Amino acid sequence: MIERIACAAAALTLALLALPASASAQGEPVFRAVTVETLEKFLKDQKIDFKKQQGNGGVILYDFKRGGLNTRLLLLPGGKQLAIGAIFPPTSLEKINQWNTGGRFAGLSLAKGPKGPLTVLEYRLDLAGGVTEGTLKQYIARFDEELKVFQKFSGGPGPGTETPKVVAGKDGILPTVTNEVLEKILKDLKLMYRKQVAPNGLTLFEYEKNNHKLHIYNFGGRDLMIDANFPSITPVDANAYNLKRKFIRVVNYRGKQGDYTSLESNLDCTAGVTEGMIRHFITSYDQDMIHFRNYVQKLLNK
Amino acid sequence: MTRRIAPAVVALLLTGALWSAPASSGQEGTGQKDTPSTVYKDVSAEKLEKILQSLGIEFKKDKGKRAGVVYYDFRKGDRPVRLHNYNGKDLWLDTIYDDKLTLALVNGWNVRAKFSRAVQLKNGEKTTVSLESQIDCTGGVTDAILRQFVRRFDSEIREFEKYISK
Repeated sequence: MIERIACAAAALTLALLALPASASAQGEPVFRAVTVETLEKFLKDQKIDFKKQQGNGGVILYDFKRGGLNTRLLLLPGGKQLAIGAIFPPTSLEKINQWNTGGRFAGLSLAKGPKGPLTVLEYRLDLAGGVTEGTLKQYIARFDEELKVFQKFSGGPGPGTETPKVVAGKDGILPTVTNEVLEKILKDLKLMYRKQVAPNGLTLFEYEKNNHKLHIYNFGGRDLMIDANFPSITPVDANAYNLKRKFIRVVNYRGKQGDYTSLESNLDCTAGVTEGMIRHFITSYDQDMIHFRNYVQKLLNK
Repeated sequence: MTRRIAPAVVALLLTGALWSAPASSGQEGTGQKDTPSTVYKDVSAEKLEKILQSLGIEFKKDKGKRAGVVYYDFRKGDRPVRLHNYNGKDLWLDTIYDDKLTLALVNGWNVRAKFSRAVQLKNGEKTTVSLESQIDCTGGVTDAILRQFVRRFDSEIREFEKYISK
């Protein structure tokens, strides 16, 4: 991918950089490395207001904002490689894999941050194959685009959406529910589950409790749904149950193998949740399920 | 297309003070005060009223007939909404529609809804529909979760109105 960009760069225009240059086919200087001075001049010309830091191993770090997000540009030793990145709340590995196999320019990874796992969106540029000023402009512009696409992809904070504050600690606020967290909770609750991951990021966990099959759906870490299916009841009986009970929803469905009734409950996780809240969500549903099963049984016995 | 990212570069992308609070960056410019994420299992009237005020909601408070139940009536646009606080243990939001909706339409909403449900109410000859949402606070909630609960209901109302107008 980097090679593809480097080749395309050879055809771009205008030079800025002050390291050994050659001419492209169109006569524009092509550079194979960049100095600190020229990179900073480039950033200033682009009206990018940065803060500079010296990183480990001779790497120079430039921190600035892109699209309102903290962004960091790394100049690697020798000036032959750049890396630009932004970090986000943790995302499930399935979702990361989905992004990385989706033909995007920037790569995604799950990393260990100072206060817990974080998702890193990173995009590199290898200058050794030859680049121009236009390549660098395009590199930054492309990253801006990747940021936008990623926020949309992750269902990231939109206007008016509460952004969770990450709190370190045993039962701190999780900004998103990864499948790993959910699996840990299910294991702690001694629930034997079967997991299925759909390409759209939806994960289904199926398990048995109180002799009944239950399902938990993880919608990309943003919300959870738990349900159980029952023989179909009438719309009047379904409505009567919804009228009496809290935290659940009785819904009638037409299935391929016949009609059925589902008892559903949802947990909105977009403002953050704790493991304790998820455990409570799962365990309190057990009582709702038993209550509804008895209700259905009585109807069937009539 | 899956790429391996050198751990050293990722580590450098993560280090430094500027990077220590990425999750709260989304709050910049929203005018939202960064409330400490304290988890509580009991929502006091004072706490709930502060949250409503922080959302710019003007409400009328009313004590219910049952002890420990408090109602907050407010409007979302033209729509009257009631928030019920049941002893701080659970909260309930609802709004009533006079539209004559069949049980099939009510169920149709429940098929598509995630964070609300529609229920048909019969009071003598009058049939109405309640759009409602509840949150169980006994497993723990935060200010952010409660704000999200109230905000989320706004979008449920909008979507429900689109649904019934079709």
